[in-house]
Amino acid sequence: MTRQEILNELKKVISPYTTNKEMLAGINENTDLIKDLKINSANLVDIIIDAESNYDIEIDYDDADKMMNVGSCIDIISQKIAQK
Amino acid sequence: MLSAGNDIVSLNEINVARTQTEPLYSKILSVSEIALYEKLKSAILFEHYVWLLWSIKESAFKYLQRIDPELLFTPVKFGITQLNIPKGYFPVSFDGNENTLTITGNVEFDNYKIYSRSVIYKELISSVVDADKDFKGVYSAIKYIDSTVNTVQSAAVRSFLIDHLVKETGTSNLTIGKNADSIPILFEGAKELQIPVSLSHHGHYIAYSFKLKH
Repeated sequence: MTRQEILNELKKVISPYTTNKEMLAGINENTDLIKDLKINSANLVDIIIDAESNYDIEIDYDDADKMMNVGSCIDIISQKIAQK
Repeated sequence: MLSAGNDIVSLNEINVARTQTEPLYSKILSVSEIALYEKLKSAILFEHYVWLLWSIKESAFKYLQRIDPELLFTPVKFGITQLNIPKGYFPVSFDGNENTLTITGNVEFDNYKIYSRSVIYKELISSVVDADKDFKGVYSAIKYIDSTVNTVQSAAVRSFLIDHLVKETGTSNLTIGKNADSIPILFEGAKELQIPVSLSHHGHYIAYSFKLKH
Protein backbone atom coordinates (compact mmCIF):
# COMPACT_ATOMS: atom_id res chain seq x y z
CA MET A 1 0.00 0.00 0.00
CA THR A 2 1.22 3.52 -0.73
CA ARG A 3 1.26 6.18 1.96
CA GLN A 4 -1.66 7.88 0.23
CA GLU A 5 -3.67 4.63 0.26
CA ILE A 6 -2.93 4.16 3.96
CA LEU A 7 -3.94 7.78 4.62
CA ASN A 8 -7.24 7.29 2.80
CA GLU A 9 -7.98 4.17 4.86
CA LEU A 10 -6.84 5.89 8.04
CA LYS A 11 -9.38 8.64 7.46
CA LYS A 12 -12.13 6.01 7.68
CA VAL A 13 -10.61 4.54 10.84
CA ILE A 14 -10.40 7.95 12.53
CA SER A 15 -13.80 9.23 11.37
CA PRO A 16 -15.97 7.79 14.21
CA TYR A 17 -13.75 9.44 16.82
CA THR A 18 -13.68 13.04 15.61
CA THR A 19 -16.44 15.58 15.27
CA ASN A 20 -14.11 17.86 13.35
CA LYS A 21 -15.17 16.50 9.93
CA GLU A 22 -13.90 19.56 8.09
CA MET A 23 -10.39 19.05 9.43
CA LEU A 24 -10.67 15.29 8.79
CA ALA A 25 -11.50 15.90 5.13
CA GLY A 26 -8.30 17.92 4.73
CA ILE A 27 -5.92 15.83 6.86
CA ASN A 28 -2.31 15.52 5.89
CA GLU A 29 0.74 13.87 7.44
CA ASN A 30 1.21 16.75 9.90
CA THR A 31 -2.32 16.62 11.27
CA ASP A 32 -2.20 15.98 15.02
CA LEU A 33 -4.84 13.55 16.27
CA ILE A 34 -5.46 15.34 19.57
CA LYS A 35 -4.62 18.97 18.84
CA ASP A 36 -6.12 19.22 15.34
CA LEU A 37 -8.77 16.53 15.16
CA LYS A 38 -9.73 16.99 18.86
CA ILE A 39 -9.81 13.26 19.41
CA ASN A 40 -10.11 12.34 23.07
CA SER A 41 -6.99 10.55 24.25
CA ALA A 42 -9.11 7.61 25.45
CA ASN A 43 -10.16 7.05 21.83
CA LEU A 44 -6.55 6.75 20.64
CA VAL A 45 -6.64 3.17 21.95
CA ASP A 46 -9.76 2.55 19.83
CA ILE A 47 -8.02 3.93 16.76
CA ILE A 48 -5.02 1.66 17.31
CA ILE A 49 -7.27 -1.39 17.73
CA ASP A 50 -9.31 -0.47 14.64
CA ALA A 51 -6.10 0.03 12.66
CA GLU A 52 -4.83 -3.38 13.82
CA SER A 53 -8.02 -5.01 12.68
CA ASN A 54 -8.24 -3.03 9.44
CA TYR A 55 -4.69 -3.79 8.31
CA ASP A 56 -4.39 -7.18 10.06
CA ILE A 57 -1.34 -6.03 11.98
CA GLU A 58 -0.31 -5.85 15.62
CA ILE A 59 0.80 -2.54 17.09
CA ASP A 60 2.67 -2.85 20.38
CA TYR A 61 2.73 -0.14 23.01
CA ASP A 62 6.17 1.15 22.06
CA ASP A 63 4.82 1.91 18.60
CA ALA A 64 1.42 3.06 19.81
CA ASP A 65 2.87 5.91 21.86
CA LYS A 66 4.39 7.42 18.73
CA MET A 67 1.08 7.54 16.87
CA MET A 68 0.36 11.18 17.64
CA ASN A 69 0.00 12.56 14.14
CA VAL A 70 -1.18 11.15 10.82
CA GLY A 71 2.37 10.85 9.43
CA SER A 72 3.62 8.80 12.38
CA CYS A 73 0.50 6.58 12.16
CA ILE A 74 1.29 5.92 8.49
CA ASP A 75 4.96 5.20 9.37
CA ILE A 76 3.99 2.56 11.94
CA ILE A 77 1.22 1.01 9.81
CA SER A 78 3.44 0.75 6.72
CA GLN A 79 6.26 -0.80 8.80
CA LYS A 80 3.88 -3.37 10.25
CA ILE A 81 2.41 -4.20 6.82
CA ALA A 82 5.93 -4.68 5.45
CA GLN A 83 6.78 -7.05 8.32
CA LYS A 84 3.81 -9.32 7.60
CA MET B 1 8.74 21.65 40.56
CA LEU B 2 5.04 22.05 41.23
CA SER B 3 2.79 20.22 38.82
CA ALA B 4 -0.80 19.11 38.39
CA GLY B 5 -2.51 16.24 36.64
CA ASN B 6 -6.09 15.10 36.31
CA ASP B 7 -8.31 13.14 33.94
CA ILE B 8 -11.98 12.39 33.50
CA VAL B 9 -13.54 9.47 31.64
CA SER B 10 -17.21 9.59 30.73
CA LEU B 11 -18.45 6.02 31.09
CA ASN B 12 -21.25 6.65 28.57
CA GLU B 13 -18.56 7.08 25.92
CA ILE B 14 -16.86 3.81 26.77
CA ASN B 15 -17.45 0.65 24.80
CA VAL B 16 -17.86 -1.89 27.59
CA ALA B 17 -17.71 -4.96 25.33
CA ARG B 18 -14.51 -3.72 23.69
CA THR B 19 -12.97 -2.85 27.07
CA GLN B 20 -13.30 -6.50 28.05
CA THR B 21 -11.28 -7.64 25.05
CA GLU B 22 -7.58 -8.39 25.38
CA PRO B 23 -6.50 -6.11 22.48
CA LEU B 24 -7.90 -3.12 24.37
CA TYR B 25 -7.12 -3.80 28.00
CA SER B 26 -3.62 -5.07 27.21
CA LYS B 27 -2.82 -1.62 25.80
CA ILE B 28 -3.73 -0.02 29.12
CA LEU B 29 -2.90 -2.59 31.79
CA SER B 30 0.44 -4.24 32.43
CA VAL B 31 0.66 -7.94 33.23
CA SER B 32 0.97 -7.16 36.95
CA GLU B 33 -2.07 -4.88 36.82
CA ILE B 34 -4.10 -7.63 35.15
CA ALA B 35 -3.00 -9.88 38.03
CA LEU B 36 -3.89 -7.16 40.57
CA TYR B 37 -7.47 -7.20 39.29
CA GLU B 38 -7.83 -10.79 40.48
CA LYS B 39 -7.53 -9.48 44.04
CA LEU B 40 -9.99 -6.64 43.44
CA LYS B 41 -12.61 -8.23 41.24
CA SER B 42 -15.17 -8.62 44.00
CA ALA B 43 -14.95 -4.86 44.62
CA ILE B 44 -14.93 -3.30 41.14
CA LEU B 45 -16.22 -4.10 37.65
CA PHE B 46 -13.49 -4.90 35.15
CA GLU B 47 -14.47 -2.08 32.77
CA HIS B 48 -14.35 0.37 35.67
CA TYR B 49 -10.97 -1.00 36.71
CA VAL B 50 -9.53 -0.58 33.20
CA TRP B 51 -10.69 3.02 32.83
CA LEU B 52 -9.86 3.88 36.43
CA LEU B 53 -6.27 2.84 35.74
CA TRP B 54 -6.35 4.73 32.45
CA SER B 55 -7.47 7.91 34.25
CA ILE B 56 -4.77 7.56 36.91
CA LYS B 57 -2.10 6.92 34.27
CA GLU B 58 -3.25 9.80 32.07
CA SER B 59 -3.27 12.10 35.13
CA ALA B 60 0.27 10.98 36.02
CA PHE B 61 1.36 11.52 32.42
CA LYS B 62 0.01 15.09 32.48
CA TYR B 63 1.71 15.68 35.82
CA LEU B 64 5.09 14.49 34.53
CA GLN B 65 4.74 16.07 31.09
CA ARG B 66 4.95 19.49 32.72
CA ILE B 67 8.32 18.41 34.13
CA ASP B 68 9.46 16.63 30.94
CA PRO B 69 7.60 17.95 27.87
CA GLU B 70 9.21 15.29 25.64
CA LEU B 71 7.46 12.52 27.55
CA LEU B 72 5.25 10.18 25.51
CA PHE B 73 2.16 8.55 26.95
CA THR B 74 2.53 4.81 27.06
CA PRO B 75 -0.13 3.61 29.51
CA VAL B 76 1.47 0.25 30.34
CA LYS B 77 4.70 1.98 31.39
CA PHE B 78 2.88 3.85 34.16
CA GLY B 79 2.64 1.21 36.86
CA ILE B 80 -0.16 1.18 39.38
CA THR B 81 1.55 -0.43 42.34
CA GLN B 82 -1.22 0.05 44.87
CA LEU B 83 -4.96 0.63 44.69
CA ASN B 84 -7.09 0.99 47.80
CA ILE B 85 -10.78 0.54 47.20
CA PRO B 86 -12.61 1.62 50.36
CA LYS B 87 -14.99 -0.70 52.09
CA GLY B 88 -18.54 0.08 51.06
CA TYR B 89 -17.49 1.56 47.73
CA PHE B 90 -20.35 1.48 45.24
CA PRO B 91 -20.82 3.79 42.23
CA VAL B 92 -23.79 6.13 42.67
CA SER B 93 -25.14 8.69 40.17
CA PHE B 94 -23.26 11.97 39.89
CA ASP B 95 -25.68 14.70 41.01
CA GLY B 96 -23.23 17.59 40.91
CA ASN B 97 -22.04 17.06 44.46
CA GLU B 98 -18.84 15.14 45.02
CA ASN B 99 -19.99 12.86 47.77
CA THR B 100 -18.63 9.43 47.06
CA LEU B 101 -15.76 7.44 48.56
CA THR B 102 -12.26 8.11 47.27
CA ILE B 103 -10.10 5.38 45.79
CA THR B 104 -6.44 6.04 46.54
CA GLY B 105 -3.47 4.60 44.73
CA ASN B 106 0.21 4.80 43.86
CA VAL B 107 1.53 5.14 40.34
CA GLU B 108 5.17 4.81 39.35
CA PHE B 109 7.03 5.86 36.23
CA ASP B 110 10.82 5.64 35.97
CA ASN B 111 11.99 7.02 39.33
CA TYR B 112 8.85 8.97 40.04
CA LYS B 113 6.31 7.86 42.59
CA ILE B 114 3.01 9.71 42.47
CA TYR B 115 -0.17 9.37 44.47
CA SER B 116 -3.67 9.23 43.05
CA ARG B 117 -7.14 10.01 44.30
CA SER B 118 -10.07 8.87 42.18
CA VAL B 119 -13.83 8.77 42.31
CA ILE B 120 -16.15 6.54 40.33
CA TYR B 121 -19.78 7.42 39.70
CA LYS B 122 -22.19 5.53 37.44
CA GLU B 123 -21.47 8.09 34.73
CA LEU B 124 -17.80 8.91 35.15
CA ILE B 125 -14.38 8.19 36.56
CA SER B 126 -12.21 11.08 37.65
CA SER B 127 -8.64 11.07 38.96
CA VAL B 128 -6.21 13.60 40.34
CA VAL B 129 -2.56 12.95 41.15
CA ASP B 130 0.11 14.62 43.23
CA ALA B 131 3.64 13.89 44.43
CA ASP B 132 2.49 14.68 47.97
CA LYS B 133 0.57 11.84 49.56
CA ASP B 134 -1.56 14.34 51.50
CA PHE B 135 -2.45 16.38 48.39
CA LYS B 136 -1.66 19.62 50.23
CA GLY B 137 -2.75 22.61 48.18
CA VAL B 138 -4.41 20.44 45.51
CA TYR B 139 -7.88 21.51 44.44
CA SER B 140 -10.12 19.79 41.93
CA ALA B 141 -13.73 19.62 40.80
CA ILE B 142 -16.07 17.89 38.36
CA LYS B 143 -19.10 19.27 36.56
CA TYR B 144 -21.78 18.12 34.11
CA ILE B 145 -22.36 20.31 31.07
CA ASP B 146 -25.00 20.00 28.38
CA SER B 147 -22.76 20.43 25.39
CA THR B 148 -20.43 17.77 24.03
CA VAL B 149 -18.95 20.17 21.47
CA ASN B 150 -15.20 20.23 21.97
CA THR B 151 -14.76 24.00 21.81
CA VAL B 152 -17.68 24.61 24.18
CA GLN B 153 -16.30 22.10 26.67
CA SER B 154 -12.84 23.55 26.41
CA ALA B 155 -14.16 27.04 27.22
CA ALA B 156 -16.42 25.68 29.99
CA VAL B 157 -13.66 23.84 31.82
CA ARG B 158 -11.43 26.94 31.70
CA SER B 159 -14.19 29.13 33.08
CA PHE B 160 -15.02 26.54 35.78
CA LEU B 161 -11.36 26.44 36.83
CA ILE B 162 -10.89 30.21 36.79
CA ASP B 163 -13.96 30.73 39.01
CA HIS B 164 -12.34 28.49 41.62
CA LEU B 165 -8.90 30.08 41.23
CA VAL B 166 -10.35 33.55 41.74
CA LYS B 167 -11.92 32.40 45.00
CA GLU B 168 -8.76 30.68 46.25
CA THR B 169 -6.21 33.29 45.23
CA GLY B 170 -8.22 36.51 45.20
CA THR B 171 -6.61 37.23 41.85
CA SER B 172 -8.67 38.45 38.94
CA ASN B 173 -7.92 38.88 35.22
CA LEU B 174 -6.95 35.21 34.93
CA THR B 175 -6.75 33.39 31.62
CA ILE B 176 -5.50 29.99 30.56
CA GLY B 177 -3.37 29.43 27.50
CA LYS B 178 -1.27 26.54 26.29
CA ASN B 179 2.46 26.50 25.73
CA ALA B 180 4.18 25.01 22.66
CA ASP B 181 3.93 21.55 24.23
CA SER B 182 0.17 21.95 24.74
CA ILE B 183 0.56 22.17 28.51
CA PRO B 184 -1.99 24.55 30.08
CA ILE B 185 -0.50 27.72 31.54
CA LEU B 186 -2.21 30.20 33.84
CA PHE B 187 -1.83 33.93 33.20
CA GLU B 188 -2.72 36.98 35.22
CA GLY B 189 -3.00 39.56 32.45
CA ALA B 190 0.19 38.96 30.45
CA LYS B 191 2.10 37.51 33.42
CA GLU B 192 2.53 33.75 33.64
CA LEU B 193 1.67 32.45 37.10
CA GLN B 194 3.49 29.54 38.69
CA ILE B 195 0.27 27.73 39.50
CA PRO B 196 0.09 24.43 37.64
CA VAL B 197 -3.34 23.60 36.28
CA SER B 198 -4.74 20.52 34.57
CA LEU B 199 -7.91 20.29 32.49
CA SER B 200 -9.97 17.40 31.18
CA HIS B 201 -13.26 16.89 29.41
CA HIS B 202 -15.02 13.85 28.01
CA GLY B 203 -18.62 13.27 27.01
CA HIS B 204 -20.78 15.56 29.15
CA TYR B 205 -18.22 15.99 31.93
CA ILE B 206 -15.49 18.49 32.63
CA ALA B 207 -12.92 18.44 35.43
CA TYR B 208 -9.83 20.33 36.56
CA SER B 209 -7.14 20.29 39.19
CA PHE B 210 -4.59 22.83 40.31
CA LYS B 211 -1.97 23.11 43.03
CA LEU B 212 -1.16 26.08 45.23
CA LYS B 213 2.01 26.46 47.26
CA HIS B 214 1.32 26.01 50.95
